[in-house]
Amino acid sequence: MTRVSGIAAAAVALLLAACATGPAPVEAPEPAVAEPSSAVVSLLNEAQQARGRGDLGAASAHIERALRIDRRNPALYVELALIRFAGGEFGQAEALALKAASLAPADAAMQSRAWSVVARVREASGDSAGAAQAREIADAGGPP
Amino acid sequence: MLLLLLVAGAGGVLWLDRVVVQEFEARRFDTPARVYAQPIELYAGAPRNDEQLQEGLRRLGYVKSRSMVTPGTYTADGDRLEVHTRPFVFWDGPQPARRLSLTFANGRIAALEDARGDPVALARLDPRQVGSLLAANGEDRILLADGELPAALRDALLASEDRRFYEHAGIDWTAIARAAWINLRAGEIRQGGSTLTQQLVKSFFLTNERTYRRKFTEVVMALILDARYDKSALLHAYSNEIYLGQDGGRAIHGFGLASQFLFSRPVGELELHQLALLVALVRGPSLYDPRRHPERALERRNLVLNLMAEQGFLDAPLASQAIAQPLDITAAPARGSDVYPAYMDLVKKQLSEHYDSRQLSRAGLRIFTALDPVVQGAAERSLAEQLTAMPAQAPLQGAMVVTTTEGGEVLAVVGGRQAAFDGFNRALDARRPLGSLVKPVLYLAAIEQGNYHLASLLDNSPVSLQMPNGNTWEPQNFDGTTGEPVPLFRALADSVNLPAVHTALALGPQAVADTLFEAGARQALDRGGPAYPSIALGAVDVSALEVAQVYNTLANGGFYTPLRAVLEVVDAQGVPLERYPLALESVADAAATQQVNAGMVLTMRDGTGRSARSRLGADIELAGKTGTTNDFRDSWFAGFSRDVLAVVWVGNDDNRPTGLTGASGALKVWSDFMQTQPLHDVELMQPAGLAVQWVEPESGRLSDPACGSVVALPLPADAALEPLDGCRVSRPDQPRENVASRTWRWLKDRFRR
Repeated sequence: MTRVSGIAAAAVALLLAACATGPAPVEAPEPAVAEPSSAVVSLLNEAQQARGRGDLGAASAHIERALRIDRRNPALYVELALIRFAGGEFGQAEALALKAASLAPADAAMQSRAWSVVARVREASGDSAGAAQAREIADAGGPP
Repeated sequence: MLLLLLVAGAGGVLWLDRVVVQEFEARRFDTPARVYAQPIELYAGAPRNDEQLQEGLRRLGYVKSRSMVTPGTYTADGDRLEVHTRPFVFWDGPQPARRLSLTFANGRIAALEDARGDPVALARLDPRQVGSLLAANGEDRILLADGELPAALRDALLASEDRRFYEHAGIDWTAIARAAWINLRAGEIRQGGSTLTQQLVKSFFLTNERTYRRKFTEVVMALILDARYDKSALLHAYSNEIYLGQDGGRAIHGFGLASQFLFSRPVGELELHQLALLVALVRGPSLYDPRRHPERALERRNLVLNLMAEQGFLDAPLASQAIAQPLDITAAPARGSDVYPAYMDLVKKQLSEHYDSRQLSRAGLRIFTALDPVVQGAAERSLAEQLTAMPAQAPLQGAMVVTTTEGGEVLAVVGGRQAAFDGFNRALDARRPLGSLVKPVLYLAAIEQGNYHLASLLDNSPVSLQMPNGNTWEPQNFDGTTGEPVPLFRALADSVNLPAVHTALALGPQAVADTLFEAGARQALDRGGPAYPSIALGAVDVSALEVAQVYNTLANGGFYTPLRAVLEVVDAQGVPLERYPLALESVADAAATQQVNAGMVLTMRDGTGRSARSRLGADIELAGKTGTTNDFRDSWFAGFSRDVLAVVWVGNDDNRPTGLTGASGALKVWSDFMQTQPLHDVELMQPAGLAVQWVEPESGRLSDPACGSVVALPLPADAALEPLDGCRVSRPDQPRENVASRTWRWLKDRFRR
């Protein structure tokens, strides 16, 4: 329980970081609405709780609902990768983590988080060389 | 002899008993699968203004009401809206009815609160039903659960159809006698003495022939039913079984569906005068059809109300109040199975992988799709209007597929210019040459291979190729010219043929075919199948849906995402049966894909797609590509904004030339449609290994804004480009190293100076 909520809190923090930091570019002002939407945060929480109790179908449905609201949010893809990983779908887990990384190329924290999921998936599927490579990228905060 | 007759009679009754029980048990849950559109999501920040939400509510049959006592009602007051939502069981659980209060600002929902004023993170409206998968007999119904039949509806039914329902044993002899007396005095058949049980028997088991034998069977079966089941079970079955109207090929059964059919609202939300109208239909769905014969229907409805009052079900003042009401039906019937036939084809196709048609038409499944009715409506209108406006000898045809750019959700499918007509589905079943739509994929293959980038100079000289069959293949540029080498990004943006042919020949046609397959043309091509040089100009037959799949991979930054119409399937009890989850496959290098996408942005900016700017504005950055096939037979356009991807095909069914290019045909439809969408610049990610450089557009050499016209291109950091003679080359600002600049949005004003 503690572990799950710890992960949840960390992911929410990352989500907030991914969405809210940094000045918006002058030429493309974002709408004056608080981001990330509390809707996405609450769905991410629900998804993490569902994953914690092993209800992967519900967890997945919550994340997909959140993605419909915020389609390019890397934190949501990381969570979905973890859901697939928990379900033993290693191929999907890796692809989703890579997708997360691709959505935040300049965000070292997100790069590191996404690539460490890649590393875990590769370890679990017996690809230790690939895992080491992913771990290196994770530690460096992104590919060279 | 007498004994023999008795035995035979007893045998007959036993046989009937078995038939009755079997059929009754089986039929009670016989409902077609219902197909739902995406529900409207409410949350602070949702891009939806007050008018759009009211329109959505009206489509769902919500009515304005000050008191908002029942679900399905709302009040609107300036930029504030209150709604009493309906309860609904979604795939991820039930959502109870609740009162919500919304405020709007700047075209968005600014705040969402519950009745106590506490903020609500997220709520959904009940989804709109857009179809049902009917069995061959066309029977459709919305099953009412036990206890869902409103008491007033039951009273009306008893008052007008069977006042001794709770006393008789299936047959009401006094009613028969009374009917006989009335008919005898009138000299014609004015009244029947049929009980509800008899009516149920007729509907369940019997044909419409009028013989004594049939009448006898009916009586025996009614007695059996009444003995076997209690009254509430019979009433329940009756409410779901009774035939109440016809909607084209769809037969309206039961009060649940009739309520939607007439009022676009669930039966629990109806008022007394509306419930009485439903009961009025029992006597003759066609005779008392309120849309065709409003006066007759009104008269019959008021008779039902009077009977209720006479028999003590109603106080006289209430009855007269209801009698004073108009019919209160919606103008057009809420269409059932034929709202969006082209989209439904895709739903059925996707479902057929897991379900047979019997399950779909009888098991009461509920199917949740990605369909967005607003997007679908806009796509249908754009296609029809723009096709009508195009000059052509014969009526042109067209097709359209709209998806999300991320997530692979199919928002709309239009199968022809008459979208409501359930005919040949051009979006799914017409296969046409890809034409120049292949070029982004061709250049993706080239850049991925490592020897090319956006500024690479491509050979633009004539090609003459001896084919194995002895013919000579001499592809031409669209304007017939040949000449100096062209930078790759210009060859893409201006859709020049010869550089594409040279590139494909250098790569080998197989490499192009493989990339096209991986990107999503997985029906048109076989994995590793043979490939010919003509693939360079798109000599591959694809459907519009397949094109959407291919361009989705580009828009997704190189991730193949299987397109989905159906998202979830739950059974009649709400238990999830099948999910069609978001799935990804990394099929193309991210840096290569983003270069191609930047090339497609330039196509829209000043290439073959530039005419869209006149409609969509010069400020918006979209990505897209035109496609024109030999002799102007097919006009294609595929392109995307940050959120939506749309593919349009325009052509003739008999493959005659249209005289249209991709730009003069399909692009017009595309721009017209995109104009209806909330538009955001495409977001190009900046993968590691790419840096932005100034390039002189004609020569593809490194340059600087001080040296004349330049274009900013994302290029491999290690690309060795020649600088322009005598120019002091500088580099554009690279993205700041923080998370806000995770995209190339900042490139917007730097593409061209």
